[in-house]
Amino acid sequence: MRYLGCLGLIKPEVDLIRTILRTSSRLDKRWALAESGECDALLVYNAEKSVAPFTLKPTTQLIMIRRRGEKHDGHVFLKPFRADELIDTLIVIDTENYSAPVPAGTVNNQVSANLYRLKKWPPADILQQHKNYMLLAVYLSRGTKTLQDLMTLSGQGEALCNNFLKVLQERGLLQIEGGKGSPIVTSIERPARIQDEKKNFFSLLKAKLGLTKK
Amino acid sequence: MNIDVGILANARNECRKLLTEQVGVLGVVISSVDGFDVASAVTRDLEPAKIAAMASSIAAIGIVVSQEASLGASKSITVNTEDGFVYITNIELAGQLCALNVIANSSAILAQIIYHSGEIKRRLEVS
Amino acid sequence: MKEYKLVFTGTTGAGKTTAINAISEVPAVKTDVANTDSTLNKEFTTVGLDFGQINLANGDRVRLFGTPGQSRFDFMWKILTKDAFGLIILIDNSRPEPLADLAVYLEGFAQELRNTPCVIGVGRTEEHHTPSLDDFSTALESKGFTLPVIPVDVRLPKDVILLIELLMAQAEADMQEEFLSQ
Repeated sequence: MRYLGCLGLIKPEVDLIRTILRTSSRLDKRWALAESGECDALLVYNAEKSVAPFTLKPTTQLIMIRRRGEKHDGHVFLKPFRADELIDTLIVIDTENYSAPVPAGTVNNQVSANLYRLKKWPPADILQQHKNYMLLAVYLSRGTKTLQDLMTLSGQGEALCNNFLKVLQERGLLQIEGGKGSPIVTSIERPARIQDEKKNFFSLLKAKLGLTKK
Repeated sequence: MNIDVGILANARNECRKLLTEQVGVLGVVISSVDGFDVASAVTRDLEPAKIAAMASSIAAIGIVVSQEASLGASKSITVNTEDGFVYITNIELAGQLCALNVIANSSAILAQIIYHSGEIKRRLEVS
Repeated sequence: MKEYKLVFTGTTGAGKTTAINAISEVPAVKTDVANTDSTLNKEFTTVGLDFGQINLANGDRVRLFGTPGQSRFDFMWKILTKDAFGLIILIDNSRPEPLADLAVYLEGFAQELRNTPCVIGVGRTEEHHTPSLDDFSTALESKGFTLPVIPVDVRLPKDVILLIELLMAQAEADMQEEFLSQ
């Protein structure tokens, strides 16, 4: 079962969404409405600073609600609501999150061309004491990074990195620049070429502190 | 640090005497173990507060080094430089451990400073 | 054999000595002396340095240094931070002005912060909610820094290790940046 949270929506809208989830034959009861806690997707309208009472998992997809005619990118849900559009969006999220993982080193070029930089350390409700999020935030705080850079440095998948970028972007914590002029270097090659003393030192220290991935 | 004003006045007087009577002395500072200036007499270029803090760091490091080397309690530290020296020795003021710091240029004679520091120590510790 | 240096700094009572003790493999060397400053609610205070060590598998060593907290010892801050691979600033949120405390260290280490990875660990946040971690981040942002700010209990090795892990992540990101700019 996947859980969908609603943030900033009025009660009749939430009731409508609950009914759609219950009755859609295409969703086949795979989605249910979450009142609080972890959710697989979060519908957000007029985002406040906090996502409370919900908590985001690494794979949680944010679906921003926009008025029809507004410019948008990523997963959006347009107001006034249309059931078929919500269902389509949830099916896409289902496919993205639960289908086979994308091989490392291959990301959507259009997305990876953007350069991201963290403007301010994210608040606790975004990081949730989650080490992976903290590390992603650290990488983004040291110079501009592409999605590919982020995946390479963190060893995390595209979904998690992309989602994290999206959350930061929604909260105005990211500085985003257009694509790099030069072709994107295949990410996998980079760490192998950074062969220096410091790198060796860090692996030894990580091993000592029990930080090596098993 | 609560020290009787009479004892403090004596301490200041001793610092002043050493500064004026010994050739080459640039500053005399008595500092608390945690680096506060308790009594001092210095030439214009020196800042007693800074010297007090630095002396307490040096003295504290001297203590751990002597412990590590099993050489008993640290009694004094001398920093010899190209143009002079700094001499730091323990001193008690009203039963509280402090450090006496003497900063001198190359015209001062270390042995004399050690001797006079010992005398100051003796006089202040009985006062 | 190579030696690397990691420095813990921060306010008096924030737990620099405790943090070093939590992860050091040798009994930590302390230069604590009796505190005579009545404005500080502690019996002893560090005036020289704290020292601990982590031994690596190839014989290299990580030397852990703790600085004195008070700014009158800032000459030791400079000495100890020279060539350090990382700086951990510990703030005690139970003190009257934690944000002002942070400002003191940002200023004191301004030169080092240009190229040395740095993490801010805030202690006693559970009992003292303000300023919030976000307030610290905002204060950092206003001074042009984007540094990790995390709550810590320095008595717990896992919390101290997380601080170090974030420092290493900063250094790794910097290395990638340097590599790409070559």
